[in-house]
Amino acid sequence: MEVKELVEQIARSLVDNSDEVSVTEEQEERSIVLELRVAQEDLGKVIGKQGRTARAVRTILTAAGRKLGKDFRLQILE
Amino acid sequence: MENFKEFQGRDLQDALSRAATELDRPERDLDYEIVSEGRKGWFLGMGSRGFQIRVKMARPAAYETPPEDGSVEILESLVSDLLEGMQMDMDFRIQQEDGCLRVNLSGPDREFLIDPKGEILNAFQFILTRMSRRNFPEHIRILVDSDGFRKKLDEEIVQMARDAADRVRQRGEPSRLPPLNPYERRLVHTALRSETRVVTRSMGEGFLKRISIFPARGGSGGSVNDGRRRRP
Repeated sequence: MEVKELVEQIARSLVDNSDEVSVTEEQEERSIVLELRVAQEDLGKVIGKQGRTARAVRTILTAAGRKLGKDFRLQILE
Repeated sequence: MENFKEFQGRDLQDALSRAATELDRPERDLDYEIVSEGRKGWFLGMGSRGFQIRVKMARPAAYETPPEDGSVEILESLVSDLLEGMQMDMDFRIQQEDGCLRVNLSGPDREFLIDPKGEILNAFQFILTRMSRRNFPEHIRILVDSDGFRKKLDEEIVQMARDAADRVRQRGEPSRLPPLNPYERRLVHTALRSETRVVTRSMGEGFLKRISIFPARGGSGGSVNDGRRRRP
């Protein structure tokens, strides 16, 4: 499983509309941007209270980045 | 098997707030019955007895029959997916203990999962809890550790609180700890409850709050604490 698929799986398990979850990966100059798209009504579920869920996912990506020597950025879109 | 724990306070509100602090659950979620409404006492409160409540501990049915509900297997597959997705070369073991599921991670990539404040393990634990919520009862607590790292962190927090309590006693001035999460605050409240001449109180709103330690008159911490409200 790749990092992109990890984000996808986490998101799917949190939302109601798992069919509408998608993640695209874009290589930018110094970082890899992961764009997570979910249904509008599920936005709160992937962001969490006071942004806790999104922050936890970002922390997990930081750890993966440490291992792989990469800088992952997570963007959440509806 | 029903499981209860009794709490005492000056009145119902006080007893409930103590129970909430100790159990780290919001007051409104407590399922309790009143054991004794206490009595006022004769003179300056001497001989007064506390208001006593009996709180039902959160023990859903799944607690009593853990092997069959499949929660360990579900958790195993979630942990293994997370580790794989994070590209970590790690093994893990899941243990059932006190109604908790403890996940211990160990292996060559441990260094990537450890940071000074334990934020990565916390995030791992948080996401794991969220992901599993649909599959098993909410009250099963999932704890993620890596070869005793969390225990060391816990000890550091308790030590910091004890040092601060010493200063409060020496100087007679309150002291404020850095922002802590509910689990960490519970460690501090519990550790300082047995200390003399100080009381603790959480201040602020939200997930992270700061505990203030106040000097208290009198001899033992326990009796001074009586009649004071504390927030978890």
